[in-house]
Amino acid sequence: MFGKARKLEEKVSSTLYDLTHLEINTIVKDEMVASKAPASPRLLLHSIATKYHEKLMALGVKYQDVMPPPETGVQNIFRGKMILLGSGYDSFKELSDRAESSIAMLREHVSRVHPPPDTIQPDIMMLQRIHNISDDIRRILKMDGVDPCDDKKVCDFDDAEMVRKFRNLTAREADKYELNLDLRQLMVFKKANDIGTEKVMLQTIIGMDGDITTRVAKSFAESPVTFINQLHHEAIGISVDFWKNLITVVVKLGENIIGLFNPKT
Amino acid sequence: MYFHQAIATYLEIIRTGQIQSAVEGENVLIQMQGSISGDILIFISPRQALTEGQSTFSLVVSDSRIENQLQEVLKQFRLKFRGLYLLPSGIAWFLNIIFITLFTWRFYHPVITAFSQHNITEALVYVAPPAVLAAIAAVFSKEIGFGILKPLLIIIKWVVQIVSQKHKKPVS
Repeated sequence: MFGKARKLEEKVSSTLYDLTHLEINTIVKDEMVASKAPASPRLLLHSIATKYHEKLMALGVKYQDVMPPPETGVQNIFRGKMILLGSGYDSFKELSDRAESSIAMLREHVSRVHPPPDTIQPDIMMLQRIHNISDDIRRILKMDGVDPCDDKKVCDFDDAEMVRKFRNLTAREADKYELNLDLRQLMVFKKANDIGTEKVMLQTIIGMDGDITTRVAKSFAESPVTFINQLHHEAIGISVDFWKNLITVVVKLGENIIGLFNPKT
Repeated sequence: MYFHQAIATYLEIIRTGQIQSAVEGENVLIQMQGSISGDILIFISPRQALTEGQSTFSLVVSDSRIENQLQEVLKQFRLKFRGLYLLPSGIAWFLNIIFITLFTWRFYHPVITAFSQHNITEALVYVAPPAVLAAIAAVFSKEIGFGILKPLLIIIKWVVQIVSQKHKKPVS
């Protein structure tokens, strides 16, 4: 009973947050857009897990010279022991834990390097993102009715082989193992996949309470491009207009209803 | 905003979970994605693999086509976003109609009774004044604005006050 109440509370609070906050992100990629995001939520999750795995590997290689050597049998200092290479609950737990330990390692060892590399702070932020989003995904996967393979008896998506098999299933067969997500949960996955491990150059968060926060990447702040600034600004305008119109509709409805019962004299 | 554009926006939202507009320049591709909650993601990526010493920023600066095309794409994107609030405003109108119907039922019950008893003249006497006023208000609000009705309302208020003063009996 309490579980249901907590789930409802979580849904209400997250929906309220969505309705009272706007987020505009401008992302500059260094690579070409290769392919479209998969439509299946399972494959979307696998795409996210793969991106996080590759980023941990890349960062591990980048900092391997300033870190103590990894344990025997461990290939990469940040990725650590690769036990699970799928995209189930435990795979994301592994990614989250590795990202968390990497942050601690970076903070401990890189501070000894003089001068510290410029990219250390953005890299810590990237690891933090991997840790946070992996935890968000895990929370969604643990919700009631989301994952039909929760007990791992029939299928285990922490195993990369199962993901490969899933890709080759017919639509009807795949549907049995597909995640049951609501629109908001699907949007969380889509956004995580879209942003992936790309660098966010400009981010603006607007709250209904009047708070507006804009974050600018250091590299962009040092050499800003007017065109990108303008583009971000235009997007803020579009987003705020959309929001304003939604609020106006709700307010007008409220006014009309109140007006019916309390006619002005 | 045309209705078919709003429907197209919703179909896109249902199919892909978001609305999207893209513009291709000489060197870069800009994709704009919007969600139903109003969040926007902008991706700027190179159209070809970057060579040594090249960055996406330098490609954006050197792209002569992108700035002109972007205005058109922003216009389309804005239009798609407008399509999104057609549904909430539709719901609001629907709720409005329900409330107005309930209100009308509660306060115009005598009119409905008169209609049902085929006493059309009596019913029309009830219905005509608000119907005429509503029609005038609709026309004037669209063409000139509600401000035009203000002097008329003031005059009506004065007349009502004068009449009520006359009808008041002196306290003995």
